[in-house]
Amino acid sequence: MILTDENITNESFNGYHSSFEKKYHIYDNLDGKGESTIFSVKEFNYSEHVYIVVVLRGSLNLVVGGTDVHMKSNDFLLVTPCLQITIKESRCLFFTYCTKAYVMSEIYKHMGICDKNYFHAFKFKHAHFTPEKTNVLLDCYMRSKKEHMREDYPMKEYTLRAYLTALLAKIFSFAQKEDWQIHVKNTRYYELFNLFLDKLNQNYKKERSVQYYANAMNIAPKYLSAVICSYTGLTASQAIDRYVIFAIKQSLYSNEHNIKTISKEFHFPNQSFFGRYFKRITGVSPHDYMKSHNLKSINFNQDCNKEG
Amino acid sequence: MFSAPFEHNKQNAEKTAEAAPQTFVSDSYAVSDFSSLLRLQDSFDCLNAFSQSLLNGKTELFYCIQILQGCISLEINGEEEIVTAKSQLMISPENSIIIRDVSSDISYFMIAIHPKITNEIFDDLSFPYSNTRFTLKHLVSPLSEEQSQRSLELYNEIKHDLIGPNYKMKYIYLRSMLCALFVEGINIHDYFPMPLQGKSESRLYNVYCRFITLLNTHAAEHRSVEYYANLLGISSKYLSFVCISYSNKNASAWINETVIQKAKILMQIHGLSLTETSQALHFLTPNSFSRYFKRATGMTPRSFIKSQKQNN
Repeated sequence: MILTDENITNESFNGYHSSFEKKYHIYDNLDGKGESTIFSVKEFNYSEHVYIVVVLRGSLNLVVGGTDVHMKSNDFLLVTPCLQITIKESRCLFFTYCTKAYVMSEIYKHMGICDKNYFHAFKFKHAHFTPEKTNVLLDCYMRSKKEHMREDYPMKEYTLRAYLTALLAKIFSFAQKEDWQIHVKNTRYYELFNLFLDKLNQNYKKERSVQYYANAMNIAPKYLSAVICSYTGLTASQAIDRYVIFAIKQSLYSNEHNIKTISKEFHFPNQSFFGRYFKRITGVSPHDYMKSHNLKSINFNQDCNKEG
Repeated sequence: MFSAPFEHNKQNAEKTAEAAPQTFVSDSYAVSDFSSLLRLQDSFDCLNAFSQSLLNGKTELFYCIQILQGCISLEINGEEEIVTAKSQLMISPENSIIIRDVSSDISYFMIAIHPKITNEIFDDLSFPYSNTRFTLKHLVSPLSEEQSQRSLELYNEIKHDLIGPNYKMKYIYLRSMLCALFVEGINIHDYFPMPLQGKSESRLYNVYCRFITLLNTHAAEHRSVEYYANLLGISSKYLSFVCISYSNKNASAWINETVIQKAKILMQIHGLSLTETSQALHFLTPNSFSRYFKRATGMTPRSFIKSQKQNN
């Protein structure tokens, strides 16, 4: 079963699920069903969410990108956008936060961790904590859950965000070096992969061809594809497209651009080409996408005419 | 990306290091100190006690006080305010507070927050102003059982964490919890307008916020609407329109109110005489100040000072 941004419902998951304005989702199976509950969601195909998974008891086997991750009791996993998570086997008590990437980057910015314009993608972190630390995280989660269950009020979003920030502050504070589980070795492959991410982050607005990145790194396109595949499970062109679409969506959320300016910003020859590119990868046109997410396209030209 | 959190925040780490939380549990109350940014006080360990140490005189801190039982009679900017059981009081900085009377069965908790934290929280809540909007304000609202419970839980968590051991992002953790408490408070007092969403609407609001900010800094010297309108680069009519649309008060009413507040604080808390006050507020003569004061409040400054003395 593949879960996409739009079709997430309670039916696909037999635990507790709640979402607030499609930005903040939480999942857990803590209510009564116990360890025997199988995490029925098999695959996450979210392209623009940050995941935080904490396993309290039992075990959870996942494939994140191209890497096998085996989670035990008291394990913590954080997955950044653009990576696909596939669940192989699950017999565990767990809870999960799933948050839109641009919300997350706002949180990071407010925590003073990074600047806003850098989107982290294609990475994950896995840690093993002591039971005491996990209990602290569980407290934080229960607070968020209570808030999710409360009926809506005007500033609910800010409370949810505050609780998520509190959780992250706890995690980043008590994660020691020895807690982190290392899945990647510092090989030539990993070096190249990081170099690719750097280049991609610098040039995603201008260049979308595999050839360009391979040339920039002085390696063959096939070799680049092999490198990317080993860490993400995607081909080079898929990875680039995914990242570009992810970045476009973040621009759309910022509510400051219309489709035309974005297509210019990303160096598409014209708006129709941009529309086709977007639709080929996401399955919906940019206009429909904005509509379904209640985003308004601001037409600057009209405003200018009015003022003039 | 995750290496970042661990390299970064050396600043914060130092901050928490120097701010080793000291807990004094005297026989009546608990005060915790977090680098003087955040102070807590409550009467849960022992009943029948209210310390006046945190709350007295003119303060620079932001206060949130919740009364669970009993009542407190306060004087805020010269006006008497009785806070009864199951209600919350929020006082913004720059207000003068005098505690008149505390009932014997008092049970309460109090949080005093430095404006540095409140400013950061308002930033996070995307209010386009800092704490200026709160200046010269106090709010008292009754609480429902549920609201009271929620605030109390938050307070207990903050207290638990504050007293507990230090860790790297303690400051950020506490700030987020305070943020949640604030949002709760905003709901309770129903005070804030919603933060504005689109950029197109924010022009009017921006003007309003800048006016309030200017007012707080310039009210002692300038009392004409025109002066503020000129500073903002708009006409005085438009400024009044903006004020009315956000606060149901026009610009001159805002100015008068602020000047009178300042005058009362000067006379009452700082004990200035009529002449000194009129000079401090840049009135030409004490006579004109007296007339201005009487027009706004209905009593002369002299009789105001007298009535204060009688009350004391």
